[in-house]
Amino acid sequence: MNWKFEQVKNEIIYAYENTRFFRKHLEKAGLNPKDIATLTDVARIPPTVKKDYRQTFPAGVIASGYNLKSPYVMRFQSSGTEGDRLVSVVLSYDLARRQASCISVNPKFSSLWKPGLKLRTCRFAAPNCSDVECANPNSTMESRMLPDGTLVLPVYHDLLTTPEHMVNMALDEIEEYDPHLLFVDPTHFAFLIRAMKKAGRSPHKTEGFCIMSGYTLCTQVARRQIKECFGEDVAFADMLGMSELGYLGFECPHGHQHMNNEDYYLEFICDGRPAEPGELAELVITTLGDELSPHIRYATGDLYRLSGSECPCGNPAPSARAEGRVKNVLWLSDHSVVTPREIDEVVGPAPWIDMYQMNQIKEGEFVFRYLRNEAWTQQQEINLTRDLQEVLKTKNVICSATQYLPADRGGKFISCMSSVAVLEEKRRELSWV
Amino acid sequence: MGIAECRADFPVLARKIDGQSITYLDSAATSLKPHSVIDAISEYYSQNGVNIHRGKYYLSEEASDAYERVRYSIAQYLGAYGNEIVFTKGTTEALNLVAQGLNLKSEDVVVGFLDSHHAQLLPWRRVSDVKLVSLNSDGGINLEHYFELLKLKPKAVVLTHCSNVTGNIAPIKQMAIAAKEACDAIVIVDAAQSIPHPHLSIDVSKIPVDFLAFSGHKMLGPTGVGCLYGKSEMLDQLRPLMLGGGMVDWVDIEGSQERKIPHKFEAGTPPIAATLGLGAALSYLNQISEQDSREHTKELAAAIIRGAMDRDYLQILGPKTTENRCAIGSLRIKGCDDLSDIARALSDSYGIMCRTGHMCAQPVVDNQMGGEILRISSYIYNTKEEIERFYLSLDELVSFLGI
Repeated sequence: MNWKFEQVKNEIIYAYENTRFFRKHLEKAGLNPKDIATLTDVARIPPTVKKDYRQTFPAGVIASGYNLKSPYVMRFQSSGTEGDRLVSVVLSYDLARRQASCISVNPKFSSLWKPGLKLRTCRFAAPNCSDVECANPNSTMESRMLPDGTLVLPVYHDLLTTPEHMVNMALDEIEEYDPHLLFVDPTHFAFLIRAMKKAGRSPHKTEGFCIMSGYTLCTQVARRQIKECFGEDVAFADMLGMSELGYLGFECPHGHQHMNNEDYYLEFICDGRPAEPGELAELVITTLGDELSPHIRYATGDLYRLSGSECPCGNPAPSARAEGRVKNVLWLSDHSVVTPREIDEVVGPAPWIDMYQMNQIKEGEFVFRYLRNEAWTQQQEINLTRDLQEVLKTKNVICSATQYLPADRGGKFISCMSSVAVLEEKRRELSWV
Repeated sequence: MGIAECRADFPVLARKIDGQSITYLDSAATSLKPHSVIDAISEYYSQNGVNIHRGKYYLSEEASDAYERVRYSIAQYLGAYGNEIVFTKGTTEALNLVAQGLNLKSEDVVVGFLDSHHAQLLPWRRVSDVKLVSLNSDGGINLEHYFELLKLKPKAVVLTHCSNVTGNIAPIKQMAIAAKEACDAIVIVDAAQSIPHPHLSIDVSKIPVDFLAFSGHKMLGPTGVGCLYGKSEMLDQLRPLMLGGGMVDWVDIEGSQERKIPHKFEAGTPPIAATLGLGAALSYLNQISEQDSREHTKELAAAIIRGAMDRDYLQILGPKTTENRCAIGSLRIKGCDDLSDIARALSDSYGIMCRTGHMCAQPVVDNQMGGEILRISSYIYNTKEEIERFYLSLDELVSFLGI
């Protein structure tokens, strides 16, 4: 604990002395780094939020001595879901270290760290997750190649409107580039798999590479389709991450998410106090050893439930279940919440569903739309409606098949959203964001 | 939300002119706007007010997000994909865009209908050889004549889901299927009068419709915005009507590269506030059940037909049944050729707002009624008592005007 506290304290001192924003932030709270004498004292620092980093970028949050052109500085742009955007910077070696710490929980991914390997990655996710014009149907492989060897595959902003020729381009490019790693948004990738099958094509290979899912919640429906296509033996795991920080956690072979507490000091906060195992809590992050843009008590707006038991995989890193974004939870009439992950638990792998979107229209009113496939039966829809009504504690749940589910304008597809949860008074009940 | 309670949502209905309440019976021309639509427009101008797309600043992205969400909502309402929704100024522009963009030749046959609005007739006349389907003896569509004309192998059939003068609802699913089976004709639907009614919503994934057009202002939304739905493969082939900023990916000194659909059809700055208002209108309509909408329309249509049939001095255009009909009544007052005095007096003496003329459907009005008509058209905020009051007022007027 002392070792961890020293790291946290050093980070606070460094941020205070080197970033204009954090110095003001601490002073505004009437604090000085000297006031933080124990790990418990860290909680005296008011959390920082995305808005702070957006408002003060770059002058307030990049540490003195650095600028955007400094060596190893990587710039990331997040459209944010529903417009909460952010530009952030990370040192490439910090990113790699965080990545390595996370991925180490899953031996299936060790092949990515072979000495001397020049990693080839293909990315298939929302277009706004990179700076290249991957939504432009006339773009070329060369124009979508990032300096780190990542090939960004072509896709439209509104996923389901991606035309056939762009799907074929993406599939052709995977074959040609033969990536070691497919880094995908799971819903996007499941779409690509369906399009591939529809075109009568087969996966480029089913072993000897890894698939990592990220960006949005990995629904069981998407996971099922990926596994069905590439087989149970393919190295597949879900990563937790944020564009502003990089890797936060990774899935072990037992299917549990292990959080990276090597490179971050992580707090799980419920009602302003450290959460007990199983409680719904917001993740608050303090970076460790980040000399470029330290984040102190960064309230993520992401909800988790900490596990109370040790993971059978034996990895000591704490395991937690990602429940979804604060602004995507469903608020029930009795003032309780149901998280996107809990909705996904109700839906399950559902072999009759290709893709779904739950939407809370207003208080007490829910619409569940889904793309169905040939395994669909009316009874399955009736059963799911009943289960959703039970968990949402209302009969006011419309469940209907459709052929179209929109992505948000940034291209991310959100499987669960709520017009109630985005209201400030509701968000404040669960988060500082 | 039920239809019965919705009147309070329309601020215009609380207005009094010369101390009189308003009875608005001109919704086929344009609908009144609920508070939520007005608020959406006002909110945009008071809290945002900037241009969409390509702007990297916060306000621009916020506006762009909101604007595109309306597109997605409309797509979901129609059973279409997001990129199949093109924003236009309204139905007229949408239909002109299709007529001008299909590369038709003057000898190409297009099958149209006698009861079409001018917007679904004139654009086609300019580019093709239009053959009109007549009405049957009831004033409904003569389907036999339609099937006969399909034997001419038309390039396109231009359907009207609901006539703006007869109120008749066409069996567009049957007609679209017949057009595809006969000659794979392109099917274009004018849905301006039907889309406002939840019970007449069209699921384009289930009907072989290639294009469908409607206006925002007839469905509780603002003026200046409408939509063209087009199947993506059809939109890909359609030539844009307007060229300029926003519809190109690249321009150099020799040429340009058009953007993908739907953006290649949306040159220039669109009516952003109106589009957000349209989104609010759709949300409002989504609260009304199909059953409520159907029953209310039927009640109003029955009052319109009954009122006309009970009076010897009136002739009503179109079928005399409430089945497959919107609550529109186009009336001829026997022995009265100039209806403008009637319309003015209805307004000034009784507070009843209705319309006279040919209703932009002159062929059918002249053909069936011999001249201009008085039209009453009602919507969700109207009651059958208002229709009855209209007829009683008309009785009084006709008597005093010596007709």
